[in-house]
Amino acid sequence: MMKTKLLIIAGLLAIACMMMIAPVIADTTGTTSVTGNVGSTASIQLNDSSVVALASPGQSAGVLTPGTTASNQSLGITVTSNSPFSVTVADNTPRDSGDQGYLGNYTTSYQTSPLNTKLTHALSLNGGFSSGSITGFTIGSDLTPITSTPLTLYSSSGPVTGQILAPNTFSQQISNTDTYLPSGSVYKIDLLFTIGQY
Amino acid sequence: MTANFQKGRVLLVVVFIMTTILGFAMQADAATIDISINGTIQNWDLTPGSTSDNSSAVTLNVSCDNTSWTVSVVDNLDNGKPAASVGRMAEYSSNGYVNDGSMLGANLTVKGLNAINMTEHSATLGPLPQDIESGTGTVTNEQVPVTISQQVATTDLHLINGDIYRVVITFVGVAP
Repeated sequence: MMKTKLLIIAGLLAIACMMMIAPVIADTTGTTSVTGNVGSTASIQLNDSSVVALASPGQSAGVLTPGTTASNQSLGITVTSNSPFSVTVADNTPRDSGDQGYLGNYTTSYQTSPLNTKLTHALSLNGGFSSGSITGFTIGSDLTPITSTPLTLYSSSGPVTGQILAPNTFSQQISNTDTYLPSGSVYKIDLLFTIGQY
Repeated sequence: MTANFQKGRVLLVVVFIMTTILGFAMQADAATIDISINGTIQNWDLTPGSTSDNSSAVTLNVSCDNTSWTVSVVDNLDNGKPAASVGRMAEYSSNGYVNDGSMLGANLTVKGLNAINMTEHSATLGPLPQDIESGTGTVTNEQVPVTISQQVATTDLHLINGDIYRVVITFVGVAP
């Protein structure tokens, strides 16, 4: 009986030893983490040149009739941004701050002599596209003309890809006292459109 | 001593011998593999419209006494990572993965390195293990630089408010 017990114990010990020295099943694991962020990217494209020909109602492009408000809606803006963004507009002309935001006398450059003149009223621009995360604003007025300090035309709380922002309406009130320029001169303003990300 | 007692003793001896033989047989046939992963990638600056590669941050250490072995990678959706983001980096905030958050459009790819007794493979991270390294010989404490690549589209979102993209890669070593 004693021998039987010893054999049982020996057998159990043998099994235990086998389990201890038996090879580990060949399967091990490890982990690593990867974190990062995508850099910001944005683009803006205008379908028009920097100068839009305004026209009074019933007039050909470029004809400004005193006592009317000329307008133009030909400007389209295409934007892409991978984060919330804004489109701003600034006067990009090398003029005094008091002249910025107003169409000024231009031949081959902005004239300061002998006739340094500008229209009485400031140019206004309405961002007419508002949808989803995008909101448009009206900028430019006699009280707050478009200067070299950018004004927000559009803001968006989300990203967009190839979004066309239109219509964009330029409005210019023409006063009866606005000066008729001699041949070769026009009223002009250069605007800089910029997309920025939050 | 009765006949039954004798039979029992013989049976125990047979069991003991067979257990011993089986144990040693297992020891002789099975192989061991041991892997460890060192390093992480943090604050990875991913450039839109390009593929970012990192082959210096993460190292695989592998030892195996068998001539045939593999190391694979899998996304186990650790820490509550959304199932829809499997294989891809997903938006992660200070509170963990963001429900219905952003994720990158492309899966991570992971690759090992060609060396003596080792062959690299390029794996697309996903729900099932994909090999990044296979062995053709035994190795001891082999340090394998792991190349991790992430394709980034211009439409992949730039996260704001301090959130980041994150994924945990699980490496699995197998030696049959």
